[in-house]
Amino acid sequence: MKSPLRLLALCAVPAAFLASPDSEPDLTVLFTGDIRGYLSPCGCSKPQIGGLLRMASVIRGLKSAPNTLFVDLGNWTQATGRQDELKADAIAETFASLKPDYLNVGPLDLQLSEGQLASLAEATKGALDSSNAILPGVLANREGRDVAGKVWIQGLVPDGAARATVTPPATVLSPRSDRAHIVLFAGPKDAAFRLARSLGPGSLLIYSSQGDPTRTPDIVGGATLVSLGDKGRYVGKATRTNGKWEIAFLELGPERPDDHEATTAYRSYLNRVGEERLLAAMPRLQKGTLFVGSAVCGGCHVKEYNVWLKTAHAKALTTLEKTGNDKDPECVGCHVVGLTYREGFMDKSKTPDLAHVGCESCHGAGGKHVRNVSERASVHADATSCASCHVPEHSPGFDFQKYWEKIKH
Amino acid sequence: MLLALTVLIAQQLGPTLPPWTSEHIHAVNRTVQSALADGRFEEAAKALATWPDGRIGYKFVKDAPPEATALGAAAEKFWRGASNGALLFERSEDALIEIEFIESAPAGDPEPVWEKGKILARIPLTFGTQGQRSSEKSLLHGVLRAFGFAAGLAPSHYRGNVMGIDDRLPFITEPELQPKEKEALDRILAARKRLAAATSDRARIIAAAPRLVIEPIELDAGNVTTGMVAKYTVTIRNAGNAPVEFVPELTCRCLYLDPIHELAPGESKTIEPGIDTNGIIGPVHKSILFHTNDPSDLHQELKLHVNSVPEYRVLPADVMRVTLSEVGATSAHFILYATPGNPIQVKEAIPSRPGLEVSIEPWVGEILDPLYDTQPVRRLGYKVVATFPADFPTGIDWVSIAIRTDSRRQPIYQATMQVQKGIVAQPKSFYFGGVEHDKEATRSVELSHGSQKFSILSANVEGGPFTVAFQKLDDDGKKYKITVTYKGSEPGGLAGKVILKTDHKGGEEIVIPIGGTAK
Repeated sequence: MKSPLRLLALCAVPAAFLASPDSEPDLTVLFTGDIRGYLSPCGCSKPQIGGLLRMASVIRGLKSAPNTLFVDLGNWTQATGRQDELKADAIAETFASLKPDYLNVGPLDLQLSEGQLASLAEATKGALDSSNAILPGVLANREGRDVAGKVWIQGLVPDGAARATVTPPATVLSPRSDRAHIVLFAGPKDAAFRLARSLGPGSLLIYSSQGDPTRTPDIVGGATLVSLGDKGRYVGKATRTNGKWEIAFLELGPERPDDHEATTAYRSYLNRVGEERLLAAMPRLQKGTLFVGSAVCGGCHVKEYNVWLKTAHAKALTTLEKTGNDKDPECVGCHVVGLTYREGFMDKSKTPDLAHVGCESCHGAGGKHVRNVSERASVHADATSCASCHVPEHSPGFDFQKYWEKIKH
Repeated sequence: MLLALTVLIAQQLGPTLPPWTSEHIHAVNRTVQSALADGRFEEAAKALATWPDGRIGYKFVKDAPPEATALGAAAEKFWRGASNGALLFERSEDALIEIEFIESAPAGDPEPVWEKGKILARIPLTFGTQGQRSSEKSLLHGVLRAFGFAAGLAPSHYRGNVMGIDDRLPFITEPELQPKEKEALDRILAARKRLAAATSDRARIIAAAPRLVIEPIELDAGNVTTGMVAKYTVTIRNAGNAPVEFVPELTCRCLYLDPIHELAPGESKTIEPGIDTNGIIGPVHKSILFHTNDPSDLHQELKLHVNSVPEYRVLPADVMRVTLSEVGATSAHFILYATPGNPIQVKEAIPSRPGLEVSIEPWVGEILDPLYDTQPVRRLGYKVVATFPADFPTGIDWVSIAIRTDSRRQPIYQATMQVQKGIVAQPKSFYFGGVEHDKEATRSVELSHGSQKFSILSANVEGGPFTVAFQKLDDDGKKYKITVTYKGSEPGGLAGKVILKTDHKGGEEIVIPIGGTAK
């Protein structure tokens, strides 16, 4: 569902009545965070919102205004493999081009190797840092960052984060009375609330969360607490006027243009995913599962096969080829047959019969049935067969009864 | 007393506006009605003057494209028809609406705005990364939306829509008001007409004050097993004197809400919103925004929280890193443990690599998992042991083990392990991304061995304008930082490789590629 009034809800004041010269904002903080690997728009809503390309265009456009900072909370990826390292490179390259004022390291980022983190710190010209995750030789570990003698930014991870020596966040906080204190805390809400008690009035604390942004910010001991939610769906905009923070969330809908620099970085990322053959290198299960491909099924099940040929399932991989995601293991799994098995889809030249969503995607591997027709298909296909791919995350409008009509056979 | 009562009875309730009304018009409506209720008629007239009506001037500022005049004429005609002649937009130097054509889409709020008594609208001439020229229809939409905003409608920020109705239209459509938009416009025009008549007749009204009360406004479902729907019970009531209308905005398809959009004065209903926790692990916050016509609070946020707890978890929860021996087999294990009340059985464990052996054995022990508890709790589970053969390849790699359980909601768990054997480079390459071609840049890689010390005998770089240097990162000599410096050259692709010679048997030569682009 779209949100026509959201921006107005959060940004617009009846300016004709209220605007006056002494209520002009003196500081704007653009903030992102908890991207968690979502470089592309999240499929969890229709239309899809988010994505690095739109995010960068919003920040680049707004950052040129006076007294405007850009900071990131951290947790760039899930840090579970080589693909996440490549994603982190793309984010670093994009963010570096936006001249960030502070890029905080989150607990998920700390799961990357130290070498990778050092490389990211270099790529962001030292903007990637932490006040309390101590990694000598990797991060600068400054106490905080002073911006133009007006703003004091500190980046923190919660207690217990992996890899680094973590100084308790509360002991690192160092508010400065003559600076706007901005704290990027890549930890959960309850810990953020405890931390806020140590902050001075007028501080801004941005914390980590899953889900939606906190549109109504919390005020704890005079500090304003806000969270952006995850998956990179919004850019936060905190505007300070007369010492008070007003928070807006700019939804990254399809009307936002793609940023040129981010597009270049994203295309490089997709190219590297292809060049490093991550699809071929992904872990696969050894189960002795023999897939035969839809054409073999069609040899006997002619009527069903002809129905299938006319469905979107039969063109599923083509959809990815158009967007350049056809080498991306995160996408390909739901567009081919048996990607997680050693005998499943490898690539279009080696296993052309297993490209697209085929008969065996729902009915299971057909090898045994082909050898002995009295042996039934390994999976009884029903609504649950669809559920592994048609999840709310990627197929938000999925309704079995309606979708079944499209493929009925 | 009787006279006062008679007057009060004779007074009529002021008009309400639909939720799709712009905030400016909501504010004017409220101000005018308050003034009329108190008999402050001059104040009402003054406020009403800021509610555009009748002839409304517009002008194009700065460098308008040649087609601007035609676009303006088309938009004039559109809104004249849509308002049945009530709104007559016309070019004027002393204009209420200032339309500026800008080169590319604005990064911030792309909507028209009220600023210092005027409406400012910016329309991008291009879109997309390649700067494709906006179509004439797209430009027309921009002008239509500026006029619609002046008419009092709240804009959608989606350029394909004329105004703010909740179904996004395909981008290229013939401009046409949807029934809901038309209905909203008619109500806004009728409301203004009534208020204007009351002002000129100096007739008092009762200020309409629909009031949506959501109780509680924040709810926490606590722990809910992943895959279940977290349910909440919320009371919504209208504490005002006029019908309250609202449009709930659900931010994702994981949210459920009863289809209620209006409450009569004094009416109260119980609604049961829900969050489908399928695919969510851990604490999550979701919001439902109620866009209302309650002038005191046009946008209310219902905050919902849930802690989605999987039926079982694996320790360590993060990616497990394993350093393999170079002389023999190496074993590593993780623990799979169940949530209290969710006993599970592991059926089998399937490795992703040939030669990798996996065994499963029952396990009992204490675990502190912050997702469930603040103290260590005794848990039942399984120990899954992976044994890597001695001939497992050197280098860095990821393997996974699929664990099949009898859980209905989470039948398979895929555990990932990062394994390293011998000397490895992290990251795998010197990736410069896009660097400025005439500026120096550096990238580094960490070269390490999980258990043995080694020495770098030489470091050379092949291809491109690069230099290479290395330094020891620890006292033991197991970890080095290799730094490549790009010295600047012509724009183009960056390619090269660093060749390191070491004294480590089996890792005598390490090659690390260099990549990127000089812009």
